[in-house]
Amino acid sequence: MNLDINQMANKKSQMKIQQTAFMLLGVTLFFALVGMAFVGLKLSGMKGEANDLKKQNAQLLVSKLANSPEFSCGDSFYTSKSNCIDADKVMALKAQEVKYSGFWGTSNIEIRRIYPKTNGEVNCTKTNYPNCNIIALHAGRVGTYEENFVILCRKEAKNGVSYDKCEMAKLMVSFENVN
Amino acid sequence: MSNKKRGFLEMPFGWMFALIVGGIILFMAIYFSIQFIKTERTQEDVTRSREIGIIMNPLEISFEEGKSTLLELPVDTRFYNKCDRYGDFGRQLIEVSQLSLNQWSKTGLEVSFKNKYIFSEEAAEGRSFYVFAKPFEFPFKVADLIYLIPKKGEYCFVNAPSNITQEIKDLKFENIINVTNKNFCDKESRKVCFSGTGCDINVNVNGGRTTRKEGNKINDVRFQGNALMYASIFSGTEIYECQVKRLMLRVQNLAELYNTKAIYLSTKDCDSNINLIGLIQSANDYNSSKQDLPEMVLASNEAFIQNDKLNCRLW
Repeated sequence: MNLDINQMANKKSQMKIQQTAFMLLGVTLFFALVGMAFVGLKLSGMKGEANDLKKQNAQLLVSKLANSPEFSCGDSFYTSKSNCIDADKVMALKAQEVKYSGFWGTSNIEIRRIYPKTNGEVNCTKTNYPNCNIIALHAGRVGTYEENFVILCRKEAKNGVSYDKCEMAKLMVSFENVN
Repeated sequence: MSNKKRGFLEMPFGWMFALIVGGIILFMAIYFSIQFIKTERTQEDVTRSREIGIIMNPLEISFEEGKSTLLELPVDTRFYNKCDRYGDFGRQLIEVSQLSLNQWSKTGLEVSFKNKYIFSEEAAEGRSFYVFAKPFEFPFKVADLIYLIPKKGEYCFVNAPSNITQEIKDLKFENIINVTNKNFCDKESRKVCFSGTGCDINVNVNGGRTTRKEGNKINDVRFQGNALMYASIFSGTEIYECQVKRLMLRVQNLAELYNTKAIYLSTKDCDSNINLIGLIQSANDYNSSKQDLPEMVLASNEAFIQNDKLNCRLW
């Protein structure tokens, strides 16, 4: 009879410990889940913020890039023009694009001639330039992009005389969103 | 007796179990909360560094001669300006530390930019900063130099040339005053002498030379043009020398670009044949302003004259 009472008391205390253990386990799991959900939310917020910063950078860059030394016409065409891109210089830049990788952040750059209009899309290379309409630096246009209208000027020659030729183009700065 | 003993042990064990596990949970909760706050602070600092870099985009690569803006931050901020002179273009590194609960956050994380040249003290502190930019030409446009000056740090320009006095007035800096005698300067201000010596910073505009007290040492740097002159005033010697080295790396790369452009132009009956090798070589060998800048100035002037005579100018 004494043994039965002892066994009963043992079982009762074991049950209590198990109850406490389960309760603590439940509480831990609950907080872990809440924590994970919170971290997930924060991470998506961070990604959003990173994408916003990339977009802001592209917007500000596209509005000013044409005037940077690697792109701008300078005084090559005898008068300083704002938002004027020297196509001959950009082709020289294209030949050294590996060196300039990441120079303007993570953005990719593309210059697309829009007027006079040409049929189809022809990427400019050393061999077909200037009979082409797209100068792509790095990956060209990828993902999301921002654009700005620019003047695209180059030197041309006719009957042994060189002259300036300026056309309308779009400067595009694109970036890949963080997923 | 044995039952009593077991009864006696039963309660404390349950309590002990709950206390130990509860303690572990509490410890973990506090630990993760601290870690989370640290990560949040780091994220905020890095975001702020990146934002400052992006905000500076409109200042550079612009057509304006000199342009200033007041950068106002929500909390007291320490802006660590670091510079890496290695690689094709070197790197501008920015680290930001913000004051929170009377403590400066220290992340050790830097944001880097290859196309920016910021001139400031190594650790500029404040809530408001004046930021202005000036184009640097050598002999072609190389970059826009950005100057970052804490609003609370006062500068006193003594006997500055009229063009500099006018420019400072036009930029509407509240913390830079122009005086004719250094005795009129505030005691706490940083005195910049444009004639004579005895100031914290002494500038010889005609000789293209700036000397400054840095601790027990007096350092000496050379400059060419107003853009580099301001750079030598507003930044420490180490930052100045490193950024000028980076600018020379860009001169080298741009000169190579113009060389390639000349080859394109040669097929279009355009005479663009100038010798930029001297400039490229000097830029490549550039090490310090004191030693190499005078030679670079000669090479730059030579290239400028040659380009001006061309039928089809390269820049």
